[in-house]
Amino acid sequence: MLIAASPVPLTFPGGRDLIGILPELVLGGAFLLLMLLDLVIPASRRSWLAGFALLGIAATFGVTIWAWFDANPGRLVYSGSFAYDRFALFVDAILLVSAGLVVMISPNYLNRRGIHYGEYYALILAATLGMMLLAGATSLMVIFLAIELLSLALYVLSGFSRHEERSQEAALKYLLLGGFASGFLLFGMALIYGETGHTQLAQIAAAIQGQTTLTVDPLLLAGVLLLFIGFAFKISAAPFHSWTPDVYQGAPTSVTTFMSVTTKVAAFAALVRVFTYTFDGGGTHFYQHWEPVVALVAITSMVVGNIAALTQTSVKRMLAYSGIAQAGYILIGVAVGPVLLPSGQTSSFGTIGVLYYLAAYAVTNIGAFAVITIMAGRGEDLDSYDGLRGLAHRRPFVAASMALFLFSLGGFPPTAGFFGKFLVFTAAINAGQVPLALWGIATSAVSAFYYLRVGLLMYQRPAEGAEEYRWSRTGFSGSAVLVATTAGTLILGVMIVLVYTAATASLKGLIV
Amino acid sequence: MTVLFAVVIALAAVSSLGVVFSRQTIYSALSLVLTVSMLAVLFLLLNAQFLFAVQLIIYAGAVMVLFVFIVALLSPDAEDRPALDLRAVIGITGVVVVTALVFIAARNGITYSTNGFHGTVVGTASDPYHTFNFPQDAVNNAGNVQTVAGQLFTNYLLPFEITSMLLLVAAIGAVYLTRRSSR
Repeated sequence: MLIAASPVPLTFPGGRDLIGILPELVLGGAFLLLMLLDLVIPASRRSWLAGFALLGIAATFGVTIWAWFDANPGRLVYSGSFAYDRFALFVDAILLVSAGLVVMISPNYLNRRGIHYGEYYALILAATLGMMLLAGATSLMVIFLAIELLSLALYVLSGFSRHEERSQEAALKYLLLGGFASGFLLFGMALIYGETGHTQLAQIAAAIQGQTTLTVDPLLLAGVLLLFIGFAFKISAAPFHSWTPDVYQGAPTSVTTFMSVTTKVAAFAALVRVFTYTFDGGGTHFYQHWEPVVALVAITSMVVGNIAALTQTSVKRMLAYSGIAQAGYILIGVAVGPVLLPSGQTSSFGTIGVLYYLAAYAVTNIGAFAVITIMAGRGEDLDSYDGLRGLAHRRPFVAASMALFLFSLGGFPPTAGFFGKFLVFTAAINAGQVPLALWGIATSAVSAFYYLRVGLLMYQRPAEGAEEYRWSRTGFSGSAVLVATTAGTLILGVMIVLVYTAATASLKGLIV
Repeated sequence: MTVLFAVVIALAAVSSLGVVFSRQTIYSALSLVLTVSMLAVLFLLLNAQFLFAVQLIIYAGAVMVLFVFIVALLSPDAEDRPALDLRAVIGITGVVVVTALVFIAARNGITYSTNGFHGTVVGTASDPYHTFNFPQDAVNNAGNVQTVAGQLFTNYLLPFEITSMLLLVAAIGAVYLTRRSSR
């Protein structure tokens, strides 16, 4: 009856659509089960919830690996709103590993801070779910809802320490500015929809390529740029970064660990899918209209992030500014994404650089934040530079791994960060955008100062008469996370082939 | 129809200016009621009666009641809001930008016809989700609610399901943040 009456053909989702979102379904199921488990598990046994969350993440990871082999070739599911392809699954894998590592360092830290509640794990899973949906979203509607889902969970997580003013302030700031950024995002989407009549990326790409006139539609361009502003806020690129230091500093450190990495990974995945592969405009060379803006934001981020990081005295703020700078480096890969080589072929080298950099950034930055999460004393955060003074003499292994992470963030070989930077800079040079690469190299040199400064602090003796910070014990799960991230940083820095091959394969499978 | 459209648009624009420039918060909220009501009328003019009702009930009704309730509860003084300074600048900039966009739109012409973006033919079998593919007669024959529901539970099922997740997370977050005593 309904089908007969409908003015357009209705496609009922079926089993193939469900398989397309299987990883998300498993994680969503784990999220719901975890909420129920929270009701029956006694307060003293909340670590079990962490175990269950880890189990859910591991199960989802397993399904993702299976799907990697199944999604070859990938396909669009749910009437073209979601991509079941290797690109999304590659990003999913980074997200799930990051979430798993964060869950492992959380119970001890939350107990010491006195904020160990079951909702924490539920919200971590919900945020990860939103990010996975964002990585595969091929419809403006799904992109918006996924961003809102992950943001909403992160707003609450930032304010998870309910009795601490700074944490509440961080949550409120993030909520208000995040809502403002969502407005830009939505307005951009409305303009794009108004001009193309579509919410599906594939149809939008077709509409842009179907442009007959050479002059670009100003409303469409306005929509594209507003959309970019919305994304730039999420990846905390300057000049849309003002919330980042305050929120990263105010939020509980384990939450900062989580959001500093995963939000960027998911938002960059969507950025690549939407900008590099939808708004490239095919033969119309539409990308030439937004590329300069992305390049400008990339340069601004690198300069602002690195220079502001120099003057910090708080580890969390320093890492926040460092994250802004890193967003700038990754944006280089987006800015040179769909370049036309002199041979006439399109190069995806920049996008491979983005994926490699994201994997490298995830493992390194989680490691660096994990150190200050694990080492934080009872009831407080390890935040000031003085708190790290002399760490090497008490905890030589922790200090050594922290030094490695800082080297990697600075881009020294043989660490993961080196190849991330190497790939995006090479892509920029290949694309003929040498100034972009030069800015990147110059600001990397600046960044060495503040990374090394913190590294050296750990190897100094505390000042005469000054008390040493009371670092916590590393614990079994903490050691495991540090070993994993250290190994990851080294492996990504030495055996580049491993992730490079996977990134290339995932790009081959990308569908819009 | 065009005259009615112009009147509604003008009212919506003026009342949204009222939201920004009112000295008292309660007037801002009441202006917002008018804005969202006018948007509802736009839906009606587009022959989407169901969306008109939903917009009225949810935005002009539920959401705005909440707004007014909070304003009344917190009862901020008019003096708390600074006179036209930064807000005026931002507001005027916004008005200028939006006007410019509307001007561009009017000049380029968002072609409201079966011919979509710059002459691309839309509404074919290969392109079933196009906006302009819902002619008035067909929608009226099928029924407004049925058309929306048909789309919501087939082509737009995934966004619909994500929304339910989103609301669940919002509920969990609100309960956590406002719970009085820690367990």
